Amino acid sequence: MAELSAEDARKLARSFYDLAGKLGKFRFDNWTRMQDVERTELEKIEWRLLTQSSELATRAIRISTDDLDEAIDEITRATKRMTRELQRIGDAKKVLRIANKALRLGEALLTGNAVAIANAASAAISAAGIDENEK
Amino acid sequence: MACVQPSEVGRFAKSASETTAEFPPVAKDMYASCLRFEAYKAQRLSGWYDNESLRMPCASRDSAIAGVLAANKVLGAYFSALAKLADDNVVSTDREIGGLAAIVKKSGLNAAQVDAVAELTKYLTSTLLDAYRRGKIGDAVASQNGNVVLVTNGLRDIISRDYRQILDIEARAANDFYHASVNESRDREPLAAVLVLRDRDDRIVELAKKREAIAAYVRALDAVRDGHQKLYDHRNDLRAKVLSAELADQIETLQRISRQLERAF
Repeated sequence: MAELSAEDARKLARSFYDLAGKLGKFRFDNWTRMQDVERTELEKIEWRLLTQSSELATRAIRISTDDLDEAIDEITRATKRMTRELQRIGDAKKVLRIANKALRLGEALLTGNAVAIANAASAAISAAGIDENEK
Repeated sequence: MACVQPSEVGRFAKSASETTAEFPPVAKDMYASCLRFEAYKAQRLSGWYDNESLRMPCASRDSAIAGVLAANKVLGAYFSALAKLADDNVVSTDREIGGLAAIVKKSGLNAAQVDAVAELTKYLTSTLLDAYRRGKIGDAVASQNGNVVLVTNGLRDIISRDYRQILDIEARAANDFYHASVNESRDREPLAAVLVLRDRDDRIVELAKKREAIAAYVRALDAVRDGHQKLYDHRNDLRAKVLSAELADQIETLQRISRQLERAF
């Protein structure tokens, strides 16, 4: 088990905060175009991402891995990809799909299970699509 | 030869100790921020909350803040002891200090910083302390400078980064809460929406004041660290006039920040 450094925890806390911010922006920008049920679901996810960000900022996280850097790289890659994609898309269903993956990634991170983190990061990257820079 | 009055070192140490004493309300508000965040969330998701349901998700924040307060208290006690030594007074250390090192482990400080708090605690509770009277205060400063630097830098990181992040999260929660509430009711109750926005504006102003208080305490920690470093640099000649001038800036900064924090909370 390796403990996340304060510096890494702060960076990840900021990533989840930024993701919540993008979801909020989408929700308010598309308020009248979205269905009630979509707005409600998106709002729930936003609050949970903000809660995860808050926990990352103040709670020690231990991850069951010998290669902490790789786990952090995976999470960072996934959150960056999702943040970029959320800025670009205008479809509520796709936004919700990415938001749910972001939530799962945060949950996996807080459990500290390296396999769950890798799976969640991979699913998040898939949901966000192919990175233009990696084509 | 021009020289520093002995009390100049004492004045700096006393200012440092007094400024650290203004920090607890700032830190405790970071716990209150968690409760406010949970209240916004509960109102939006379930429409209702009670105090118990807010406190539970904030328990880890509470422990972390208790740890930071413990580290800050040890730092303040060290400077209080230094002030007494500088003025050749007898030092008596609060018995509670000995038990604080264990609480600090949950603060978010790294291992070296936690060890530095433990070292300061050990020094404060040591029988050696009373042997360091004015003539040997330079030795005391020399032995603890590394620990003071580690502890002030650790506290600085937590306050300048984590506490700012905590307030950013609360600000986003407040904005989301008010924005959604206004969107949902503006058509039915336009005047109520105006009042709600006014309430939002008040909250944002309060948060800005808290950010200023955090920034001020970070500057205070810098002044504490830099002032102690100056004592260290002049440890073999604590009566040098140049030290007096250098400490005067730190003392002025600390006293100004102390007044600012007293007014803010």
